Amino acid sequence: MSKAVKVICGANEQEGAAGSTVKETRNNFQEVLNIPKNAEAFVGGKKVKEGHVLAEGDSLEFIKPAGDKG
Amino acid sequence: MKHVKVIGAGGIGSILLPTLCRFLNASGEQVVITIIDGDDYENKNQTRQLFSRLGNKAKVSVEKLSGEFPGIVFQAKPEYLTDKSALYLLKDGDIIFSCVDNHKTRLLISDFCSEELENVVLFSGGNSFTDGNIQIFIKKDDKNLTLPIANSYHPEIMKPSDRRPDEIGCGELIVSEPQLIFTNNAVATLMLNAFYSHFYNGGCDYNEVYVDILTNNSRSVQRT
Repeated sequence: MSKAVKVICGANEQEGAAGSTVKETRNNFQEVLNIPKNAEAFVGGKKVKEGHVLAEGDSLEFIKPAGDKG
Repeated sequence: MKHVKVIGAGGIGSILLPTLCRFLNASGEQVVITIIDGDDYENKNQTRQLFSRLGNKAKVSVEKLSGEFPGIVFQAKPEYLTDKSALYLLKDGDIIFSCVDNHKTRLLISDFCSEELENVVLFSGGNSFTDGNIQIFIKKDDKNLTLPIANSYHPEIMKPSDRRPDEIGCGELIVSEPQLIFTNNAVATLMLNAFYSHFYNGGCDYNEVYVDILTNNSRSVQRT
């Protein structure tokens, strides 16, 4: 599979694989990107479900919750 | 004249204020800075908050900063922001730095700015232990130019599970989550960067920035 998907969470990003689902990508990058369990997934600015299959060139963002402390 | 409101003079606010004041004092502009905080500086805050003595955070901050920056007019409001106090503390045309430590107050600020004011620029910051973010809300001539900070990307702000300080009962024991001064500092810096970009460099092409102090990455994004 090609490495042609940008996977983003907060300030960090990694390269993911086109053809993977959002759920698979979440599992693969949960630790390295510290993806919160309840983080919603957006592709191209639109919310997607866990079964959504990523295409080459997609930018998948797991939305990190806003910092709550200060 | 710039009317600046800094809500919260704790971890982020106490770091943001000296740098903001130094810049504005040197700018020669007419500025009024109002610091709003109902909390007190305590000994336990010394690990990451900048203060000269114990006491109400707004009063202590104004006392210190007014001596150092005579070109700025300071006001201290030693109270928490509530639905009622927002009516007289936040005014049309304000530049607001939200440096609070709970989403319930962020929601209040977001709703007030988007529903009650016709012109406002809001810089809101918050952090976890090693990462954080800022959000920018701009409203001009009664039109939202950016998303309110309580938006669908941040349901944790739209429906907060925490409480405002004024909603916490007297004597109720609150266990605060640990914070890191470096993360507070990083968020304060992002807020100040956005302030400079907006007012002195033609605007920001983003309305949210994330930062991670462990990877030393930051990422700006335009939410629509």
